[in-house]
Amino acid sequence: MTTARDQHHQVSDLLGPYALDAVDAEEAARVKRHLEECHRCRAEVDQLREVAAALGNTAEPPPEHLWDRIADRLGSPAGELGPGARYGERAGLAAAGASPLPPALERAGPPRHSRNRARPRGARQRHGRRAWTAAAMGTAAACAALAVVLGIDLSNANGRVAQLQTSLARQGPAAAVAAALASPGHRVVELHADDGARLAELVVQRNGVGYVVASSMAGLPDDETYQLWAKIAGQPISLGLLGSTPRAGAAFSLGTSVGEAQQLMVTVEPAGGVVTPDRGPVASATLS
Amino acid sequence: MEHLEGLSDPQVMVLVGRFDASALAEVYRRHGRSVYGLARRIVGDPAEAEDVTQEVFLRLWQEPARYDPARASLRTYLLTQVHGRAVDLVRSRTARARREEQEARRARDVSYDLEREVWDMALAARVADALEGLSADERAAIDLAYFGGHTYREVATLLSAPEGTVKSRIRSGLRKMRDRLVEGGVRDDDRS
Repeated sequence: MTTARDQHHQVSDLLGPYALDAVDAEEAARVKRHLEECHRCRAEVDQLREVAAALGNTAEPPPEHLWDRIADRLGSPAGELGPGARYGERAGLAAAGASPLPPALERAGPPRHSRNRARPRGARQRHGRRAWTAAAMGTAAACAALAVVLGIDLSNANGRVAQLQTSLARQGPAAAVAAALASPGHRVVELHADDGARLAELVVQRNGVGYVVASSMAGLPDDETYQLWAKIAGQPISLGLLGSTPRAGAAFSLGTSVGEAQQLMVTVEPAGGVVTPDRGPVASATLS
Repeated sequence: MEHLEGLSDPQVMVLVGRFDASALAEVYRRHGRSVYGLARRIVGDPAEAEDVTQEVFLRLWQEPARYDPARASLRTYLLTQVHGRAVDLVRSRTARARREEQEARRARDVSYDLEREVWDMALAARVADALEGLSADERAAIDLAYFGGHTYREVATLLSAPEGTVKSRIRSGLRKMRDRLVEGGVRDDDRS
């Protein structure tokens, strides 16, 4: 007969591999069952997973279309918020010159009255998006459960939420770029072609995070992309891909090298991008 | 002025729990690069990495309560999720496809290092430092298991070592890394 102690012993042996998803399905199920009862092992797995995550924390900018793909699947039943509606909303933004945030924000709907904030979201859902999820989970129940899990007092949180949603609605989708342009110590960088034509404008915040404010770079064929670089200590370091048609709001980060970058430049590269540019830049800016 | 950018991850998750799509967009803005980066590193193929990333964010949207901020930072939670999915996908491939993929992956690693340098230099330096503290055996076992998507049994075969030894090398290696990281004051949550 297996005692609880034996079981603990057998399972604790597997915690390392389990934290790395390096056990088979049967073992994973056994560990999982044990974790439900054993506080100590659960704490250890949490700690080991934190280490694993630090190890796996490798950033790579996802393709620009990926967020659109995700946003399209957030539960909008076909036709309810069709392309017409969406692009209709976006048209107004295009006039403003920038649509820096992922589309979900653009679709977040018109400003709402803040005193409704305390009610479960499902009750005032505008487009019926996620209706199926709400039905499956029970919207109010889900909120309540989450609030308990998070240990957050909803009645207090609501004031904050109301505030932020009002400010978001007021700011509109250009919020990230607008906030960057308003942040202390930001720099606006204009990228020029060799012939002096202004091709793009970027904003770089003091923390190194930057956005494309505007771009007039010509669209490329699908198998090519614009790639953004910073020259740091004479070396070009990739800041990421801007896609075949750079969009306002595309984000990049100079990280802690923000003070050391001497030059920003854009090259045209094959779709996946390259490690080192071997073509000359189509646009560049010298940072003083 | 308050907006999403000023909120902590758990606060943003409260909004995700209320079906606020802009809150999910904010989570994506903060962590999408890391989630996609790890997916890409493990599965290799960009299209498959997209699928895995999408699955992780849709799951977060559908079941936000599965994230428990008392147990992990949101970044850790998302990376744990994406790792599990990515490994499942890699294991469903044929042995040959896996081998080819891993060879291709090795060739790509240079660019990851460069990206890493830019995105997260401080953390990368600490992690590299923590890895330094491991024995070559511990490092090999962790690398094959975590990035190669192998089970500890497969790792044992690959390294011609007993299974029990591999299990304990993985655990002791991770614990050592943790001690070093905690010493250096590194946690992976970027916001409080």
